[in-house]
Amino acid sequence: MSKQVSSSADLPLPANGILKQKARDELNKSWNLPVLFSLTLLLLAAGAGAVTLPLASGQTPGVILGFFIELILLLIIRLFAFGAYRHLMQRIRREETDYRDLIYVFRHQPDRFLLVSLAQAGLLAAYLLPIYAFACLMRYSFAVMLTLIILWVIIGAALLGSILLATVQTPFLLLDDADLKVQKALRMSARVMRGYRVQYLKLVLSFLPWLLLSILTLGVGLIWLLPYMMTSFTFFFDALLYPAEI
Amino acid sequence: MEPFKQQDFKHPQYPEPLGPGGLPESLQSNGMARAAAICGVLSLVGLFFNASVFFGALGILFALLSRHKRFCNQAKAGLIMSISGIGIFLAMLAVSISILASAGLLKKYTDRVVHIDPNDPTAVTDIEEDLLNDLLKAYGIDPKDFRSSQIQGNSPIDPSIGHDTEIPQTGGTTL
Repeated sequence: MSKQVSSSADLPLPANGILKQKARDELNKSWNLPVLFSLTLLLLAAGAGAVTLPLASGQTPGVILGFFIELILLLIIRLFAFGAYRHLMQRIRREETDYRDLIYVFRHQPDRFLLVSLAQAGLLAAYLLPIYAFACLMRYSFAVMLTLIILWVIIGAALLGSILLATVQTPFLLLDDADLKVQKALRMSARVMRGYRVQYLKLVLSFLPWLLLSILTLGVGLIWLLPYMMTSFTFFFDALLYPAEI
Repeated sequence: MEPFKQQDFKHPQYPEPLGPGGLPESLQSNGMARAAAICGVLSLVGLFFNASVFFGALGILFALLSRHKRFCNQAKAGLIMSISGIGIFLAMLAVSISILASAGLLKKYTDRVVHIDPNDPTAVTDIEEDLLNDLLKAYGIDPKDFRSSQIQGNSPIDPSIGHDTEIPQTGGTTL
């Protein structure tokens, strides 16, 4: 069931620090299911890597096949991740939750979520392909191609980042409203993110030190960091769409 | 559907609500704070088996995750022990590197570690053994003497106590 989306222009969004504190407080009540979901997602991602790793180290056709297999597996894992977001969304709204939330997306029009994921993967491919093309042409003119690569890495990242930041709320909107179409969700995401893209980027970047800390734990820390990040993003979405309730 | 109600953030001028045990809510311990304290201890113990960075980083992570408005005492203790564990480990690493550098062995062993053969199962133990031999030589100790003294339990570093020398029996003190 969805709520009426309110205008966020009249009420300021809480600072990222407050959203993160809310996320910590919420998780500290019970870490059980978020940790279980996070562990599942990490194991699935590790499994996908293990499946495609032998192909990636072989000949070119194998590498291409490995790339596509990994892409498909990652898209499936993303559906589980959306299920975890659904769980967190329900939880912070004090609605009923259970472990079946993880497969929520598979039971409720997974095509909509696949479409969004494919669109975002397509954007990423559109960003990476020119870099690959310029690198292939380096043997003809090294200096020119290197300059083009550096320029594209900077300009392309700004363009890609801007588009991704505008569409970042699409899965949340789809999770929030079972009847919402993908196109409308994309447009709505761009509308609600207007003016808040920098704050969202700051929220994402604020987790970089945490990720570095998790590397020191050989990835074990991600089991707890992932739910924290996801809960913070969910609070951001709720604060953005339902400012009166935050 | 139940309306979504956020928990209010109390204004600082109003007294903070007390939780069980009479402590303010922000100072209440939780599972994460306990985990941080345990990891802090393990980070210090881990200095003996090269695990202090792992447990230290995990302890810092748990302490930060347990924070409400302030750190509770358990989280604070965990944080301090975790940082200390990592700090002591880094200090020990720096001392080891400076010993290697002063013995002129840093570049040789950095190259060997960088070009290590991953398929050779004895590569790491070979490097460790060579390193020990080179360090002993650099400090004027014969590796053979060192090994035989290790078996006999004497230290070859003190020339007065060689493997041929009898250790004088002091008899100890009687309490």
